[in-house]
Amino acid sequence: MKKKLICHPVTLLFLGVIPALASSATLLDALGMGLAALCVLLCSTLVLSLLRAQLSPAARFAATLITVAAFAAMAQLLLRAFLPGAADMLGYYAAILAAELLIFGREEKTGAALGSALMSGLCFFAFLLVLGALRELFGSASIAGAPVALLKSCTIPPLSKTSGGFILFAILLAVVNKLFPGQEKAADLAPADALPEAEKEA
Amino acid sequence: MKKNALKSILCLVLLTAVLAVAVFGVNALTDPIIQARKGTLLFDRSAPEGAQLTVSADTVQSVYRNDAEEIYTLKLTTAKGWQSSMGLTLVVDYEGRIVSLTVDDPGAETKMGDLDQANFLPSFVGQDSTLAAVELVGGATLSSRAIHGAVADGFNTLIENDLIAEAQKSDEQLLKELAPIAFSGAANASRVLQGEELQGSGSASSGFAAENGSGCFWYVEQNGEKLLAVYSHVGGVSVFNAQSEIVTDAADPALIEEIVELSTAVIGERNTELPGTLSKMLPEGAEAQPVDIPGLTNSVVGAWTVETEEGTLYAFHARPYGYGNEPMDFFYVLDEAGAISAMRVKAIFIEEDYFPNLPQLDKAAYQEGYLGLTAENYNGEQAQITGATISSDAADTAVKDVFEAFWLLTESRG
Repeated sequence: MKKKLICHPVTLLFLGVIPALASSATLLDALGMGLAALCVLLCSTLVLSLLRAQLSPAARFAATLITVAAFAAMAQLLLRAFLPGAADMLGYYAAILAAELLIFGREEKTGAALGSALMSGLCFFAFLLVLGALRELFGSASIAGAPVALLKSCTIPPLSKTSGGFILFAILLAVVNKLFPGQEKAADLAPADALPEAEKEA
Repeated sequence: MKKNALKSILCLVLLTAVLAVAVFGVNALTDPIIQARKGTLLFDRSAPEGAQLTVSADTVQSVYRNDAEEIYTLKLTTAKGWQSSMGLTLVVDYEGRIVSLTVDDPGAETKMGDLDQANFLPSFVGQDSTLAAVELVGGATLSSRAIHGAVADGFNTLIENDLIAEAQKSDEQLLKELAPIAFSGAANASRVLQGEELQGSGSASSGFAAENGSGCFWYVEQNGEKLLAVYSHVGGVSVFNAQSEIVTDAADPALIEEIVELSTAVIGERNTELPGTLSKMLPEGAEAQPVDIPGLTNSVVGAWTVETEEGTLYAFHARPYGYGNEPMDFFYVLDEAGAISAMRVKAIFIEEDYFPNLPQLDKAAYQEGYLGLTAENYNGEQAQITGATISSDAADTAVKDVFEAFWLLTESRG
């Protein structure tokens, strides 16, 4: 039961969906969040893959949590110091990077881990960009802050809000599923060591 | 097994320690930069103890001073605009000019697109405390007024605490701000002018014609002094100076004549014919004569004295702006004592199908409720209709304007 709950695609997806939706109301917000997520993901994957051999399966999840949270905190501090505009834009969602990136953790050798982290991060980044662009375009009739006069009269304001974001997210998911059928099951995406060994073998 | 568990625990502890040091190091590196960027906290509404400023405006939430960049950063929360309040960040330099204005939190406001379209926020950049070049946005009046008000409060806070010098408003700006107050007939309840701009000629540099037909006003110059000349069909010409003083008596008669000629040429002569609705409100055989009410500059567009067998009545037609800034027609008949003896309104909020969710309004009862009211006993309640606030405010404006017109008329007649 626990395995089914933890590995259920919907459960895992929603760890990343909510902060992603909150930070993708505009293209620039999505760009900032996507880049920050990519950097944190790569750094934490590097550290974890180096420690992989030293940690028991049960300890790897805790290590993932600590590592991702620490890098997310450092990213937030660096943004506030050197890119205050971006930090203001992301707000406290920069800190929620930690929750988002937990679902992307993979336990492989360093090279392979970095490769798959890069791919996962880029896919997440691209998805966020498309979501942010569509929400801003049809929600506020603008793109990257520049108004689009053509769409001014036919905006759908709820798209800029969370409810509209969920709807658009669902539509995009349907499109992705249609374009790329037969995707990996969610259980394969979860950190392989998220569960105690005894339960995995059961 | 035990060895593996011990190794894992040691690794976790080491990892935690290393990451903690790393976070601590990044914090040590970035904290001075963040604090320097923020500046010195002068006022924080959430922690008023230790405040170095006296802040009276509720819209000001915090004030920071940054000596490195020579700026003040104010966090503001506007009053309610169209739907909600908004969170702003205002940055003002030590010279008292706006460096930037951003909306951090639009709340539930739906007019942000209109404001962006009109480049409303960029229009604040470079402005001093007079905010001379900032115009409210038509179609987003309440939202833009809320932002304007919050920025003005921010400036007042800095000025009151001697952090910046107050900029002096030019006479042009003073007269521009005076116009909707001096000629209230041309403005809605939010003091936003409704009508169209006019090309000036002669002594008048430019003007504005009220949409409701009450008249127009002109920016004029006499002997090097800038003045505001208001032309009302009923009230004639009233002249104001930049200090908001009425200087009609001191104005050159030639200027007055010029303004009358210019105004009637542009907006037409006064229509003195008694409206049909008013005719039906008067007794049989009553004779109505149009009257002038010198000094009147409100929404009253027509005034008549009516001689009847029982005595003299006074008939008025007022056209304040209601819902959608549309003029609404109100008709009143007052007796010699100034009490309302008849009232009619041709206004859409009276129509049963305009507000389908409202309880049906008893039009006759609403109008009869005004009977007997005078300037002394009118308290605004009769004008109010639940769910039709803007129209109710227009009704309130109409009856007050009529009472003012009656007072001016009877005072001038002794």
